[in-house]
Amino acid sequence: MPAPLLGLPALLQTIATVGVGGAIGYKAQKDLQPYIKELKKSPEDMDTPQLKMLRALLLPNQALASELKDMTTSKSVGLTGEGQVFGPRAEDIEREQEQIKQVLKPGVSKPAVEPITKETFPAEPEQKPEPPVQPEIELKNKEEFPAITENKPIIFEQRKDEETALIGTKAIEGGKEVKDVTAGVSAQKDVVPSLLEQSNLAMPIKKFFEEDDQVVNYKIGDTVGAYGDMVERSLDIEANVKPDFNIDKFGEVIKQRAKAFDQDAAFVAESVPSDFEGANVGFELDFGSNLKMQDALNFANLLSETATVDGFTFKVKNLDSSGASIYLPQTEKDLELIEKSLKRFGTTDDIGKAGFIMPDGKMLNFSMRGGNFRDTEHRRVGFLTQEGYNGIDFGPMYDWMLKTGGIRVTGNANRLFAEVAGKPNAAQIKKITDEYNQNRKKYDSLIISLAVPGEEDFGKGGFGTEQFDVRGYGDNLKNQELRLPNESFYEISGERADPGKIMNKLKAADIVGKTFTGLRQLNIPEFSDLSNEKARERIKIIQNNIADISEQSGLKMLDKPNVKFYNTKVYKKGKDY
Amino acid sequence: MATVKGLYDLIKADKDAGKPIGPLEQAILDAVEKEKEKPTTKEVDVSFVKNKNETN
Repeated sequence: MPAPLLGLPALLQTIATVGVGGAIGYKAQKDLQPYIKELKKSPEDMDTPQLKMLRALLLPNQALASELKDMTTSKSVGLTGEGQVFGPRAEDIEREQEQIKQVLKPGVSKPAVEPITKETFPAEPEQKPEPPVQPEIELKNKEEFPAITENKPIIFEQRKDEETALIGTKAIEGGKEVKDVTAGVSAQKDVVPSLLEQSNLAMPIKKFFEEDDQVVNYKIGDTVGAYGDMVERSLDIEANVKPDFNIDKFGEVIKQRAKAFDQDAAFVAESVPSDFEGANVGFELDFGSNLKMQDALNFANLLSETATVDGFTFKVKNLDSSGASIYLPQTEKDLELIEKSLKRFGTTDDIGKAGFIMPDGKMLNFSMRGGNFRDTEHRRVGFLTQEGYNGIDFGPMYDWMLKTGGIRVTGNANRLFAEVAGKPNAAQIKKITDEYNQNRKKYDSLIISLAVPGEEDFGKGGFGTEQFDVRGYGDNLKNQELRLPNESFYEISGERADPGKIMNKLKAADIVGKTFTGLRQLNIPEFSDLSNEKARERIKIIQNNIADISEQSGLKMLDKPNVKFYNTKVYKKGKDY
Repeated sequence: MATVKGLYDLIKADKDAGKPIGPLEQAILDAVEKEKEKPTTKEVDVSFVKNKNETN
């Protein structure tokens, strides 16, 4: 890491500018415009390493999760290229194009493939089972670059030096064993690194995650980190890994990056059991408020000031759900439409075949061709709610979701994903958490995501800013052409999902507010160098300070703090690389 | 040298003595105790398939 350059005021300024709607963020987005235009003109350029990394940095940094994150970070679901472009995979498109060409050849006796724009269901009984893909090549331009939301975590890097062995795992009874892994490394020396430099810093890390079969999913984002009074642009790196993940190998990659960018220090950390030698105590806290995102960021900065003074390190995550569809006026459920939908699609007990969970917990069967998984586009519900629907736009699907209360689900991958447009009820939440809890060996994680009316534009501010281009708000939701951006509202990996907690969070969102500030890995860097009494004193101080700041700012703690235990390895220039 | 166990013991002693403890301290107690918990139930998957000939 470079020598101290900026003080706390600069941190505030940096957060403000790099954060949502800031000038730097705006400039960075604007700088991307030529690349995006270039991409649109020359799709083959999508595979250049620079653009891959731009996408890698931009896309995972948007929503904390969402189905899109499935596509960017999980290696077990369909990916395009190296997993950064949303939409059909290139090979899928080519295969489909080839198949369509074949069936459309003159003289071939096979029936022509019906375009998606035509209503085709209910499936004819004599329809022969076919691969679960649809000839909707034209959709490739509709599903790219979705869900972009602002999430600006701050990493306060640790410098505690530990030499203990890394053996800890987090054993999960009845489910997959998953560890959290994180790292802190920067490219900054004398000047703030460019987005391209950030990409160069991130590229080998991303490659490592992609190639390691112990990595379940990962995220590499652009963030601002600090150590003491030093502020620097850095990477926000997080991964869920299997028990045999070798953190020392990962540490080698981080060291190599720190060396390449002439950094003074870098670290890696993994979650461990409480009795692991040298385990540090890490806190997670969620706050809710009605503050604007910028105010929430200021709150985060106040916390960072307090924590830094008191010798704590932490990173902050902010989520603004104020524009989410759950805050749209909720309409009476259209019972007739629900009935019609149930008749049209039928129901299934297998979430792998399901398209939506209805308010009574029943799941609509979207396996129309008799296979063992969903083979039908979610959008097809649009035919039930809009006459002359073209089968492409997403608006009618959201309209249907609001009218029926249906939750869109994707349960045929290693990540169970649910997208809500209207407010879900307890029966739906229970259904989805039961599915996850009873099949934990099948799923790596569960995500419940909020559809956010509006459309992201790289040339404008991100979600939660005044520049955010809100289109189709309210009743116009049905006019949306593209899939809406998503905000991950609840995400869990490797642990049981608690339906009560999700319902409480939904209620808290109503009562307490719509902005969430999460503290992650708030801990004392030199924990094991202190006495137990001194460590406890530190925890008491931060406890009191958070309470004071929370009272002054109006942010309320949403739930009890959560504790995890971490083992951290710090690498120093001259000693470790 | 601070350890999770040492910290836990300090907080637990205060709590048992009726002294007030804060939310972060309580969270440490909860996390350690949750780890100690031995599961008293086991998850099993069962299914019931009715014999169609049963009523014949």
